[in-house]
Amino acid sequence: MRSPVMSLFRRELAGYFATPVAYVFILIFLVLAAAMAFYLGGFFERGQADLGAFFTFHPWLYLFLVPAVSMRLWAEERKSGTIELLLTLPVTMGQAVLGKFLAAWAFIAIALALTFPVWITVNYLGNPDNGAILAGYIGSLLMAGAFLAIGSCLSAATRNQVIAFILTVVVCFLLLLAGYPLVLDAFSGWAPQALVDGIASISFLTHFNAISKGVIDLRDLVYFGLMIGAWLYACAIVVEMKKAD
Amino acid sequence: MNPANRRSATVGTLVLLGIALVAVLLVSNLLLRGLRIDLTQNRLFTVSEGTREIVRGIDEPITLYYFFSDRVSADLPQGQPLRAYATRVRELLEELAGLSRGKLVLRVIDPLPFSEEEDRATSFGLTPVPVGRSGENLYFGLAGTNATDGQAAIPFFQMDKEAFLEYDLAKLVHELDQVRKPVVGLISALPMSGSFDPAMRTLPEPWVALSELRQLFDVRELTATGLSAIDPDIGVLLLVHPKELSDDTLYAIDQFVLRGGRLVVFVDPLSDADESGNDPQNPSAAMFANRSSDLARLFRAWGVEYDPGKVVLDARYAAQVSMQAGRPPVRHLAILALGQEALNDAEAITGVLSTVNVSAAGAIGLAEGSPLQLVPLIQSSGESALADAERLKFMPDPSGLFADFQPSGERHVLAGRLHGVFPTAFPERAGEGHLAESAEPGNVVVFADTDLLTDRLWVQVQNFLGQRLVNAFANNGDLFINTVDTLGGSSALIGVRGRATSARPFTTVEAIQRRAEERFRDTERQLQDELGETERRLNELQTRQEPGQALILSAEQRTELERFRSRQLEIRRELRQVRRQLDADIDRLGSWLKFINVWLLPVLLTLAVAGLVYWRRRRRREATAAAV
Repeated sequence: MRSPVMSLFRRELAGYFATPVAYVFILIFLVLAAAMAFYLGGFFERGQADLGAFFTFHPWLYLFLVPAVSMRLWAEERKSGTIELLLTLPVTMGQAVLGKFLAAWAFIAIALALTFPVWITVNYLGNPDNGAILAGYIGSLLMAGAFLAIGSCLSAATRNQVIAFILTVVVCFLLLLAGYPLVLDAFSGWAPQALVDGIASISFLTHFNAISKGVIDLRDLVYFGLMIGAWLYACAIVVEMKKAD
Repeated sequence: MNPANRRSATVGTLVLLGIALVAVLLVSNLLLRGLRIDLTQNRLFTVSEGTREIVRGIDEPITLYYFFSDRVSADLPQGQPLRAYATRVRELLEELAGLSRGKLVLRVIDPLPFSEEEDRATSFGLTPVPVGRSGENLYFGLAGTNATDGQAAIPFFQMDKEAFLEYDLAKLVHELDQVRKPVVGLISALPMSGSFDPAMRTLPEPWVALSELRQLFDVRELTATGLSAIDPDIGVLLLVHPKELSDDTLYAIDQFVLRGGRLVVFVDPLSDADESGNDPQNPSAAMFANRSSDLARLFRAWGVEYDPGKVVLDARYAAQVSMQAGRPPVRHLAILALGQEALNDAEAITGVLSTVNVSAAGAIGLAEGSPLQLVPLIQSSGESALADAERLKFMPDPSGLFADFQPSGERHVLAGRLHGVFPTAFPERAGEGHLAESAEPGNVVVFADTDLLTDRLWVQVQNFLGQRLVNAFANNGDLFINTVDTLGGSSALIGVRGRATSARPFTTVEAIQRRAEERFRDTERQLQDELGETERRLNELQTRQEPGQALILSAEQRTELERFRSRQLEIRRELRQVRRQLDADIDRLGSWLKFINVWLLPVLLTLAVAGLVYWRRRRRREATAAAV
């Protein structure tokens, strides 16, 4: 028998492709990812056979595109009332949260996989370090997962998709830049150095940049794993709390 | 529980969850170290076997002092990336200390402003960088001491040199581990150690290749004149650009090789750094001076063929050079950027290198009946040919070299290792202690280029806060040191060196560039010839006029003149177009790739989705029709 998570995952993933919105999202993602690499990153003009110019823009691309995917995850279900229906199914709250999250993550993974022409291009032009490129893709996917988990939790906290979108962008932006003065300055005046270092170490950019150099450190994996796990757990708590509203 | 209570309990749980997340992240950052999967091709971030060998082989204990201004950097607005890199350096040092079985002792020091530790950092020669408004000093370097008061330091870790971090650390440990550095003799006719420049009244820095060699070896500079024997202390002898050596000196070198000494020779058909012909009274003397070198007598005895009047031209490896500011760079058939296929990967000297640049290199070969073997280290491609060195001297525009360039299909050896029993070149000097041939098979390495040692072919040198920062763009320095290292007996550093040159050029683009140039150069030459002919006829027409008619032109002459002038303009325009076309193919490729990557897949996807929607609708309509 198929597990409830798998059934929910398949149902949700199929749901993405039932409307044209999914295709529009993928189109926007593909065009922006390539255009940023070629026009802002100067991929061709740099003359270097690596995908540095491509991956550099992923955090900023996800900052707006992932919240667009995640905003409807729970907010819509609550607004339209289908959440009651979902929760009458024989699934636990945790399974429901995980199923929805995995479907959204798989959807983004498909969009990311469709950027393969840029990988073919760089292999056509020179002899890139394909190991480092693989690491870049893994890092990018993990970061998208973390953004998605945050978006999923904030989508559960509100009925309004637009508010869910904005909240997610703000939280993700702060976490992206946690290692940078914009965020740290707010703490460095009064908080102990250990806390400031702690905040700096939860920066998405630091961990993503570390992976995209080509090394997958266990700490970076644990970081993204814990981020995704904690935000999904929070999501389950929030859905549970709002159930009665 | 009432709803309000339940809500506050949930919010409490969420807050606890947040605190727990940050705490677990912090703890995992501290505990889970050293576990990493390195996906890069050259394992750039994994401690290499060479480094392990060096660290495990330490004889006497070495203490490393790692200075990082932790507290000062915490207050810096842009300090985070620096702090992350500092952690990476510290972890690598800890890993090395762990591998050393206690022989490597690491001390981590945060030198606070005005503290004793700060004085210590300065006394080790570390570079302080003033930061912040109060101008406090930030230190980020490493110093090491060994049991015999030997000292070495890395003044400041540069973040953009992360790929070289392991090599720098391994080199420092290796340096400290050697109680006595091996002795290398150097006979050079080129100003490698920076001779005084009377015109500029400055003392230039020594060549980077030599500075790096001095860090690992005790380099003794010898004067060729009056040299009649090589000190037995010297294990490796470097002979750079040998010119007009006396028979006694040659005999000393000959007997050194036969005694089992290791010789590295750099000869050159045309050395750019040769200043021997410079004469302040006569600037043109330098142009006509002989700038070639040879080791004819020894080469003849060994059966080595080398013509100091011939240089190797190679269309496959021709490098892009800028001849004039503001003009587009042109490819130079004699300045070669040799890639991996040109370097022998089975030899320790060249095995781990990726690029070597040479300028006007010669070719070496083995004559029939030579008692030696020649193992090529660097070879040209099949698209190469030999040309007279004299042509290069008087050629301001390198594109002229293409004029009658005919690739011979033969690969020329630009550098090689001679192996075997060496015979003497002085059989007549059979006196006491004279050796007629080497007792055991020996090794001599011959390079047919000296320019590869000059800075301009492989490093950019910058002055940063009084420090001399060098950034290598080719492996020439590694090649030089590998050669001495291999011949001198220690080779652990070779595995670490050279694996980290980061340049991965677009090879396809380079190939297109080469093809485009070949295609258009012919056209360009034709047009140039036609332009020359037109100008010549125009001049002729103007000078043919009668003296009395100097200012008056006949109608016929005027028309002719007009015709010539307009043709001249036309040809110039065509020439400009030809120049522009050189880049057109590459621009076209760039545009195509941009189109394919940005638009092609989205367009295909849209068509596929449209097709799918149409197909579904039709099927539904058919189903409805069938139901009715």
